Amino acid sequence: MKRRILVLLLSIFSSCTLLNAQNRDVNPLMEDVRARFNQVKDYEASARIKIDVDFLKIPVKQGKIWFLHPDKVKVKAPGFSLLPKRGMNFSPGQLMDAGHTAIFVRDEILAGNAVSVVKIVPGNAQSEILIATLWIDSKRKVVRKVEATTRNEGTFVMDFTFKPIAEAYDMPTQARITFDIRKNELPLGLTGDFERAPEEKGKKNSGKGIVTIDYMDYKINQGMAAAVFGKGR
Amino acid sequence: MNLLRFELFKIFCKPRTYIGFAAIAVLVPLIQIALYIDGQTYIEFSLQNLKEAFDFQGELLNGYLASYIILATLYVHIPFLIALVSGDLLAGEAASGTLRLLVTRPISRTRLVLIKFAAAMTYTAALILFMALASLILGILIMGTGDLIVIRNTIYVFSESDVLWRLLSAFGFGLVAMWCVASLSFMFSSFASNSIGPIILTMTVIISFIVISAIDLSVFRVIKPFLFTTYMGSWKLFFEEPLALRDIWLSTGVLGLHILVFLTVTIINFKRKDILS
Repeated sequence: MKRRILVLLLSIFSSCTLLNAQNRDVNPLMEDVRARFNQVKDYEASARIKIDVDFLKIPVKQGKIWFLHPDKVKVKAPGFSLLPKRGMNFSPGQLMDAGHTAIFVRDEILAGNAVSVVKIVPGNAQSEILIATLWIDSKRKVVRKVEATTRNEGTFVMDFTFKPIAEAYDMPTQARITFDIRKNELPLGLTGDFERAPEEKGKKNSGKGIVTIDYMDYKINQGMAAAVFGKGR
Repeated sequence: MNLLRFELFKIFCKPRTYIGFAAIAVLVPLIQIALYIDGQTYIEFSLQNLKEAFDFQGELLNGYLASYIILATLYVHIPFLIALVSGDLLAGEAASGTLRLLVTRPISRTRLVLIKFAAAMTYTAALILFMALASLILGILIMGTGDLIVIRNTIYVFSESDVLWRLLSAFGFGLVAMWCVASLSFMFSSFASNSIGPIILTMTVIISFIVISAIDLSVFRVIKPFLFTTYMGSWKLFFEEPLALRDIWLSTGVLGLHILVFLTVTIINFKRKDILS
């Protein structure tokens, strides 16, 4: 009998907690994040780009990265570089369009930071992102992690690292983009190379690609990106 | 040294010697110009699948890529140009009736073979050097320099500063491979009394070995390590990261050993040969 009462009490308690969690209004938090994001109209930064894909060996590139509000991103590095299509142009503004639905999932600790996990379904039916999960630092009002499922380009995960102490614009010092690579995205071949090198034994394609971008020397809201993207664009 | 100079003089007096240089002088600019005009489409076609996942920044078409493509395309055909001269060195003398006269001179047969062999190696080196310089200088003049992309099972992108030494090393390795071809045709030349036989035989051996290497059957896989053509393509190892130094040395060693064996067989055969023509 005692056991039954205990189970009943526990069930009621957990249901209430879950209900409370689902009902928490995350819109103020989302608005704060959007407001912080909207502060940055443009920036220029030095970038160090490291690409880690099983079938691709490319040296670490040093270059410049420009951002123009709301979602234009351009990267320039000397020589040749490959940048993932997935995640590079991501901005929270894309998700927080009119009519989006934000659902609070839970609070958790992510790399030592208290974050709120929020699921977002964009309001625009034509949106490239179908659903996304954001890990939002409720204290600093920044997005620390994004996991997004897209219409045509699979899933990508973005992990952001920030300076330990918040600054005026609180821009990330590092972005780590993990994205899917489908088998049909392997290149056909070049150079009339008839002999293919034998496959290395035990070497398996993980089907994932990781691009790590380290940001340095931010120049924020100085109008530098406008020139790069061209006026009126 | 005088004898070598004389032997080289004889080689460079023959019109066939210039066929190789002429072929390279025509082919290399032709490939470079074609790449300059249509190279971008060619690269985009090769990388079209990759474009689904990545945005490309910067130019890939440059003189380094052109040189790499030339090296990859021509290494199958250059042996013919080399056999054309080295296959003629002993057999040509026999055919023209000067071999008997040559061996009457106060010089050992071994020394005579060694001098002719050195001349064949010099000609091969000159041809490969010409090819390397033509493809690099012309390529850089037409398309400039830049990063190099190499696609095998893995895609390698090498920084501009990291490419030239790899290309020069690859051409250097290519030279060793072509020395091996020259030694083979020189060896066949010692058995023949006209130069057509050694040239055709050399090409037959090379084409057969390449075909055997290309067909991925278990029987051929057993034979493959014993074919010198297997190691001829090892210049590509210079375009891998990390550098497979052990494999490069192994390939160089195997080719060197083949050169030594072919030369030894030539000397033994030539010393025993009854020269009747």
